[in-house]
Amino acid sequence: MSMKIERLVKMANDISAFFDADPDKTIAAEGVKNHISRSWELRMRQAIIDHLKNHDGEGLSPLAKTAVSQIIV
Amino acid sequence: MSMNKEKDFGTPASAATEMVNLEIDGFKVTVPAGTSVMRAAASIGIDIPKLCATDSIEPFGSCRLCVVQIEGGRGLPASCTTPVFEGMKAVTQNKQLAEVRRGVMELYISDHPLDCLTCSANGDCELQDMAGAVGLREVRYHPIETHLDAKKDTSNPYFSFDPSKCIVCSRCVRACEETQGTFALTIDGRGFDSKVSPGQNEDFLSSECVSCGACVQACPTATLMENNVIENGQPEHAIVTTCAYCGVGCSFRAEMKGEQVIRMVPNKDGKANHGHSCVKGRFAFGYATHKDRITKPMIRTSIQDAWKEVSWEEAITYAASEMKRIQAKYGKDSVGGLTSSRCTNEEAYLVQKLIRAGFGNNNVDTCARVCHSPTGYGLKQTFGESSGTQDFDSVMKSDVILVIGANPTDGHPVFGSQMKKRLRQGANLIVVDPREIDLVKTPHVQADYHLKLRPSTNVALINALAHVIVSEGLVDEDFVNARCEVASFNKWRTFIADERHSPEATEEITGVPAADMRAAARLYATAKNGAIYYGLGVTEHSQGSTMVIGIANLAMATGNLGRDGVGVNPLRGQNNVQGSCDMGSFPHELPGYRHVSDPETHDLFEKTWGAKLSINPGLRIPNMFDAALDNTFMGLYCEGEDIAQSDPDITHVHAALRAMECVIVQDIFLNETAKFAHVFLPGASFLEKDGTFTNAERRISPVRKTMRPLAGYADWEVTQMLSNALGYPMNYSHPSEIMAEIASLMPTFAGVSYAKIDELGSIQWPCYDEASTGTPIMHTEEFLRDNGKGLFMLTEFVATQERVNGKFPLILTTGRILAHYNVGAQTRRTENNVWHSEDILEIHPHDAEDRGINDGDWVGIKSRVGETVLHALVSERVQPGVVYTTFHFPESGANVITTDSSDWATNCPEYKVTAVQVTKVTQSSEWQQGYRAFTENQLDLLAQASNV
Repeated sequence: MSMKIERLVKMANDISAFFDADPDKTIAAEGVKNHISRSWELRMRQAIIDHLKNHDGEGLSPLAKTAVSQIIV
Repeated sequence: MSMNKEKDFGTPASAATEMVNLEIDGFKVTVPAGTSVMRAAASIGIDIPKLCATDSIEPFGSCRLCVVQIEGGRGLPASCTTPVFEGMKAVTQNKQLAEVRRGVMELYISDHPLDCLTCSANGDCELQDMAGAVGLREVRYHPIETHLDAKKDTSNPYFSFDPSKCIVCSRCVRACEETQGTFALTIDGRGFDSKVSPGQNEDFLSSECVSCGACVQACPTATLMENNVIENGQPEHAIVTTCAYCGVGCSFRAEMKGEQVIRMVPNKDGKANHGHSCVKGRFAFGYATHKDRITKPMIRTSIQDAWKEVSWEEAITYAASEMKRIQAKYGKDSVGGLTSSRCTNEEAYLVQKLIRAGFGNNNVDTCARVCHSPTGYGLKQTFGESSGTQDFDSVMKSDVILVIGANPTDGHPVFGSQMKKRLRQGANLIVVDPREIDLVKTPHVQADYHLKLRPSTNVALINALAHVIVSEGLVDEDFVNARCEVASFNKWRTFIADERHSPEATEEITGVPAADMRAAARLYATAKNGAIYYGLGVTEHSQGSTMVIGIANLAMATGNLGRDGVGVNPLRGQNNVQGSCDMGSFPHELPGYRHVSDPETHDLFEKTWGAKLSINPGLRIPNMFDAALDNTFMGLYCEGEDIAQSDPDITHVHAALRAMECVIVQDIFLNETAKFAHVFLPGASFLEKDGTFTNAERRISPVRKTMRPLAGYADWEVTQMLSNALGYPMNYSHPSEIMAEIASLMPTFAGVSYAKIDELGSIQWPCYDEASTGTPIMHTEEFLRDNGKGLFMLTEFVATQERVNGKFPLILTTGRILAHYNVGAQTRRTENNVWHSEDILEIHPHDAEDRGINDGDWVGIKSRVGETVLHALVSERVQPGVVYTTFHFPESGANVITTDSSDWATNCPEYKVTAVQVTKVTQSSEWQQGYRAFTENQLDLLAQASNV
């Protein structure tokens, strides 16, 4: 899916901003990963994973990067 | 079928549990203490004559027609104002009583036009009935002065006021006060000069009257009468159904002549509305037979082409072939659809079933995406179920009511009236809203605190309230320990106790004085029963879900859950938005809010539906638009929604719709979305089909057919035809069969059936088994999460990225108005335009003065994504720096300005926060000019439909 990656990056960062409140960053990353896995359409998940792989997740917050790296499609 | 007139017991029922025994005319009767003699008599079938009494309002004792004799008592007391007592012996009829009543009637009739045969109330006039009941045979008085020449007031488009027929019983005045709570009517003058007067001798239209119809309903004569009855005569049968407007879901008697609706009368037995109504449900039903209705299926290849009227078979075959073609060309996931919150549960269920089983993907979404999707997410996470916790009647037990981002008197007027009734009884009120909504100060109601926060700072405010509760020892520790996950609470307690969440630290962010936040928090936390009601002012933010979670945290921390008078209550926007969500309209959830990947649920649905189902979440509405612009989402089946008007950043939406190869719109009108469509399937209004709606209190209510569908089919039948043409068979013969399937698949609906709905009138889910009568209040023993415990979650405030700056220095926020409903497709086609014929921009005097703007000026409103032009209204209801408008008229282009900023969890748009600049202009915007040209062109193409 060629959905604009900037939008997906923003969505991932917004999700991360919520879960980032948890002082335990392992739990926070798990929260982000689960949220994306359970609510994003397959092509969107694949696109953000590809963005992390191919562009080092440019624009993603540190927590979002950690979470995206754990997503399995 | 018959009229089945509702019995009038004369006075309201007593809520007392203590019972009293008495005798009336020698018959023994047992009634609750506090019951009037009149009601006690009516309960055993003895109808004491009456005029000023009716059971929707408190007794008044003025007409003297209902006098009775009480053994051992003095005189002839009015039975309406005389409560029963143990051992009472009452006589309702003897010679003396008959003479008194006849004398009273004689006086009334001496100043009443004797035009019964041509009177609009003929056949439905209590005065006429009472004259008969008391045996009036002559009128000896012929007064020199009468009111027979009093001038009729026809200013209101829906009802007329004929004072020549008024008996000054004050029922209308009392209904306006007690039932509606507007206090628009009064008795002006004294003695002979006494007359019913709207406001200060104004006509009805110019007065404070909100046209709820309570006065018309209460009037015993033809004084206040529906114009429809005046024009068409009395109805001859009635069918009980449910209103198709807001999430209150009022029960109505559709009073009919053949297939013509004469009037919609609020049903006294309706458990959501108790015989009350608003201007929309009561009067604004004319859209259903409006000339704009499209009743023939139409197709076209391109949106530049003229429409072509075709047979149902041709339209359905074409639509199915297009969807199959697109899937063959672009892949299985290149199509999807939208269910409608204006359609029934059964219809929403069928549309999502067609998409999941027929299209083979989960690309289904619904309008809750743009309103209460954060409610679904937030309450599911914290409480375990995506719904409000209470029934509406719970508010009558509340001691402190916290209203956040909701405007009940405009958006949910019938519940607003019930809330005002409780407030007049003495409950405290806290309003959290950037704007001064009516509830802040209305007759006999004054908010204790109006926390006038800056738009987008909800979470900072809710955190501040929670901080006060935690730091001042106001937590209900017993509730938290017994009912919630203690580890999550402890983590939350540490988080929220941090000084950065204190009122003093957040004052700068919210703009609300810290002292007010502290006082409001204490008031809510120390209430015996504290209840929270909220609306789209909570959800339509980038932190909408966070705020819902914050509200849930607050209620759990204070133990305000699980009983009457408390709770977390989302005021749902559309009539069936709760129902459409329940029915599996979200792309990640099957019916009953169960995730598409949940193995047990997935297997159950695959087996029942006999189709291979995807375990992957589908596209949300905004994702569909993005995908369309990428040429990967090319076909949409849109039932009963108008995304081309309602969704944010409309220019983007329109571009996406233009990019699609097949847009199928099923609607009653050529709405905005239909202008981009290739197939038009005519829909049926709520009056033309059977089904159910589920309101904001989870109440499943019947929708019953009052007339045949104008286009020949109910919407569920159209979906079924489309599904069959797609190759996925559906063979339902009645919506009750669809409900039976729903009940077999959704545990919370397991005990729901049409037979039970007919028996009980309505059912609040969860309704787990055949014996259950539903659940008015949820989470009474434990929460519906797997472990039964409530979950506290951390709610850090994150400032919106939609920020003001020098170029866009004002915040635009949007809302609704009483007279109109959402995109206005229905109400704009009624006389409601009399009250509100265009969307206007409210701007504070300071901001207006800075820009040289006066009332009525054309002003341009420009955001980062677009510009539109509206008339200005200079008003102190908005605070400096904030402007406000409604979004009921497509030509206003409110969503030309709103951006794609959205809630982090659900992508619910941030409608409530758009940075804008406002300037005085002299002409409409470029977008508006383009819109007008496009619309004219589309209407031309429609006009050619029958000629092609």
